Amino acid sequence: MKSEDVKEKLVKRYLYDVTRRLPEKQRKDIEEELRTLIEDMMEEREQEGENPESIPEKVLEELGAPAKLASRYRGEGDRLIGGEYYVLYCQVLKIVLFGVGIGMGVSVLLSVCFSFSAASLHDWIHLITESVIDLGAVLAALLEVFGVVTLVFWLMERNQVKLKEQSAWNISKLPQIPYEKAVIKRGDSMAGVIFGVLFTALFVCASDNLGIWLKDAGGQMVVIPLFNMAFWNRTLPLMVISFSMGVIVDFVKLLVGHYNFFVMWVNIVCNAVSIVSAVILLKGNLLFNPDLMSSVAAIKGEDFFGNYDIMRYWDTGIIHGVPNICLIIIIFILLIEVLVTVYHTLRYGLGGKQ
Amino acid sequence: MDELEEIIQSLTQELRRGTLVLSVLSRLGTPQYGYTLVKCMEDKGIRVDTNTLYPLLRRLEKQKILVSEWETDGSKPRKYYKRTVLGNIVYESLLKQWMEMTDCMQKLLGEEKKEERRGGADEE
Repeated sequence: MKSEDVKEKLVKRYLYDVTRRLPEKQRKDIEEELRTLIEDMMEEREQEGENPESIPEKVLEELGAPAKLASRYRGEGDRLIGGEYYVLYCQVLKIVLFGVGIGMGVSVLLSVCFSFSAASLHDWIHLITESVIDLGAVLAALLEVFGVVTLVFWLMERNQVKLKEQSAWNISKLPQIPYEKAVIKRGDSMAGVIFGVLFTALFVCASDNLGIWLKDAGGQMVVIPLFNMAFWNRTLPLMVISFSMGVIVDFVKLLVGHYNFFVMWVNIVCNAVSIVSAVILLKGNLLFNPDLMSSVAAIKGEDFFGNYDIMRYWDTGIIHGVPNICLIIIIFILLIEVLVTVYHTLRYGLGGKQ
Repeated sequence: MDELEEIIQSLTQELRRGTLVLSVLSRLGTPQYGYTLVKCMEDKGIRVDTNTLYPLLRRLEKQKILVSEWETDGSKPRKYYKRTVLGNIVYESLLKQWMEMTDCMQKLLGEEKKEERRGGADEE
């Protein structure tokens, strides 16, 4: 009976390796059909009196590499991005374009809404030309993003093709089926990628519009930036690195689909980089505008904040200021994420032993 | 020598691949599942790889040339395929093409053979 068990497991792993490369909708049907086929093929060999020990191996090797079989099911020819990655490529492209589009769109809208005053013909013309230029910038950015995503997938594809060419397939190359608890939910990783891209786009495009909007004594809208614009050329790259690390982690999770050592190490390294940049940003007082409260007070008067308003202690020594609180929260979240990944990887992710 | 064999093999494969759809369609006037199809074609001397046939059946189904149905009465669930009305039309016209083509090929290759023989005779 033990050999039956081994046989069953081997077939399961083969079916898993084929179907994971196929669109979700077709998986079950193809799996059923192939399972019956494999059983038929095995029975036939049994009737011919072959050594039962070696039958599963022979049958699976006759069916050939799962990647090849799956690619036949997808019916693909030569494409820049092959079918194996094609579904994911489309999804990621949608997410990223959507994120950047929304992020930049919001920033353009913000600056138009707030910078626009008076309504002479000249102002209107100015507004329209500015908007067209902004829109052009949005389009250029979308194109750029499209290019980068395509390039990344093309490199992955090329690498994969090289791997395939290097060696013939045999059953020892079948992956383990991941333990159920080691599977990373696609939705979670997707949400991570979406928000990461969205925030990055917002920071890059709208940082000077993010802050406290006030009407000054003359009734003019002024914005007191939340961020330290004086060092923006140093702050922005650090911010972008930080956010990109988050996006990379979620992207890798999306790609692999379950916890393993690769995902774990990517997560550890990326979060470490994020923590380092957060420390530089916040301890170096690069991120927040140190004059935020004094600028507000200069317009609204000292009484604008109540005595117990936490904002009163912005960047003061009493509670070491808002930046320190932010830093603690950020480090806490990043560490928790790493811990969760490490736990899942060590507990469930070791090649899917059940 | 290896290289020559490889070339011949890949060209033979290409030649066979073109006939695959027609041979599959010819068997599917009545419902059959994939593996019996492989076997019955093998009996007639036509070797088809299962890993080519199964995806092909699915593709033809997508093109509405075949229709499939799961049969769960037996010991194992099996998916039976059969030609649709559209499939019949496609099959008929492919068949006609094939007949014409083999006719022409016969003539073409027959002439070639004759010429070869004649060439050989001249040399002697």
